[in-house]
Amino acid sequence: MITLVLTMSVRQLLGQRRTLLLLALGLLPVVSAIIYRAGGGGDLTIPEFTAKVVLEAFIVNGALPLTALILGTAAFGNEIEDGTITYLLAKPIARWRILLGKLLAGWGTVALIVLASTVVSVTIMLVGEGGWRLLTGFAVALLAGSLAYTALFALLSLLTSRALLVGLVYAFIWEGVVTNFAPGVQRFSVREYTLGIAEFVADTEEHIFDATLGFTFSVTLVAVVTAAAAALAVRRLSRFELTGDAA
Amino acid sequence: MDSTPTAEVIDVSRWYGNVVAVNGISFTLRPGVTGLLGPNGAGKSTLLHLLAGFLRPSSGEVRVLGEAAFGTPAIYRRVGLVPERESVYPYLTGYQFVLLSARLHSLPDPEAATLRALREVEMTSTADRATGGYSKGMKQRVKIAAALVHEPEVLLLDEPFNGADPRQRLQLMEMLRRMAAEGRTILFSSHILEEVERLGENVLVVVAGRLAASGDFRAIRRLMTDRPHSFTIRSSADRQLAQTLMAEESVFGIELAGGELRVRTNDRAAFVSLAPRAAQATGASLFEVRPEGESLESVFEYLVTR
Repeated sequence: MITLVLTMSVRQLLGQRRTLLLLALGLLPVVSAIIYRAGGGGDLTIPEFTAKVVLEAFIVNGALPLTALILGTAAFGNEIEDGTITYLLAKPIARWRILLGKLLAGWGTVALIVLASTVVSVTIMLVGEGGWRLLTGFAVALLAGSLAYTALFALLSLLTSRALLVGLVYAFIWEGVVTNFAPGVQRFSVREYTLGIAEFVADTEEHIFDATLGFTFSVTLVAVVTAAAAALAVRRLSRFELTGDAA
Repeated sequence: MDSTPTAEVIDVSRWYGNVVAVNGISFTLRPGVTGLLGPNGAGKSTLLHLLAGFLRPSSGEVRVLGEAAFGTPAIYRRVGLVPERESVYPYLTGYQFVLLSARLHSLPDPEAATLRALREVEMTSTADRATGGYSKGMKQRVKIAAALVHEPEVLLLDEPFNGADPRQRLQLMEMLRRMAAEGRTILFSSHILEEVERLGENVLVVVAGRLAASGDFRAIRRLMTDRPHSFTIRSSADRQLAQTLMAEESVFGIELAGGELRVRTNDRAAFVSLAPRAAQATGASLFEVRPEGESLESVFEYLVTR
């Protein structure tokens, strides 16, 4: 049953026009890598440019939250909006199975797009240079980060019809701005968990990018955020009400 | 026919903020076809959603097949829902859409159940086309096929005849009648009196969130027909015509104002032939005979205020 919900949801996610825009967004890090290798990198070394610009700025701060936001909120949001959610919920299926199918579909699709962009752009940067541990570190971290983001945004789509707007505020105002000025709140940022995991797994000799949270703390919080968001989403699904078109 | 209630709505109210959509409604459903009749915005969809477990009652209780309708996914093994909104998954063919429903129900032979359901709604010839290209009536039928693929004991349909052409309408009605004869409980909503008249053995009339009438359709239809009717008449001799009309048994009130007569009668059909005869007897020329308040809403309002 989970597989059925998963395959149906992947088809829905890949079939929407917004996913094509996300693929275009995934090309930005690739383009930046090509420009650097063509001689436009400025003062940064190859590892620094790869870590700070390609991975941190373009992928972790941009492509990852935006892709997860659009696909995570679409996991339920689109069906709630057009009413097709009733075809899924009017079935004798445990709600946790529906959530798990949707979550795996969202996570898989987000990870596929973000990792494809990451692998291609980092390969362009590091080919002939070495330092591949950086790619491994970020690949693992992006898998963890995309899981937490997707669960969070899927929950958001069950809580509010303005999930996209609320998610944008979280990803770009809270994580992008507020955490820079109020260091204590970094523990409430999926971006920081992602960087914490990346730094540990990549095990770079120099600190070529900044992670403020430790590995164990980051992994624990990814697990806690994902589990809590999933549990709340199951609860919400169990008490789902069709209030939009009441008459 | 089994007389055990399959669904019970017990003193149920549902409100959205300050808006009361359903107000203290009680009724039971038994096997057979029941029509849920009411004007747009009366609370029909809210009632159907309450019965389908997609709304929690603000007060009262909704039970379907002995279980609380809200928060009990297991009831969907025995309940089918056809929502009013016409959205379907546009990238799926009709066959795939119904098959998905069969698989989500974990049916032992989903392919056979899909074909049977598609045959029921006469959609086998168009089942391999994407539902995104379907007409409104075709979408309606494929939604019904998906809702009955698991042969539910209770089938809830929200405005199922919307978009269907007259032939499809008759075919759907015949199908629902057949399912009811098999002992299933069918509840369908409609704002069209004739649809309910042709299909519903029993009827629930909902107006402004309240149950205005319920029971055998013929009795309610009689109530609707026998209600007082008003006509406005303009003639060349209003006073004389008023005198003649007052002598008639079916006329119980006449008002002369603003150069026209307002006549109240309790027999609409008789009055339509009576008015010209009275005019002829009086020697008056009739310029206009206009019935008033014949909208469905006014009929419903009458039922509420009685």
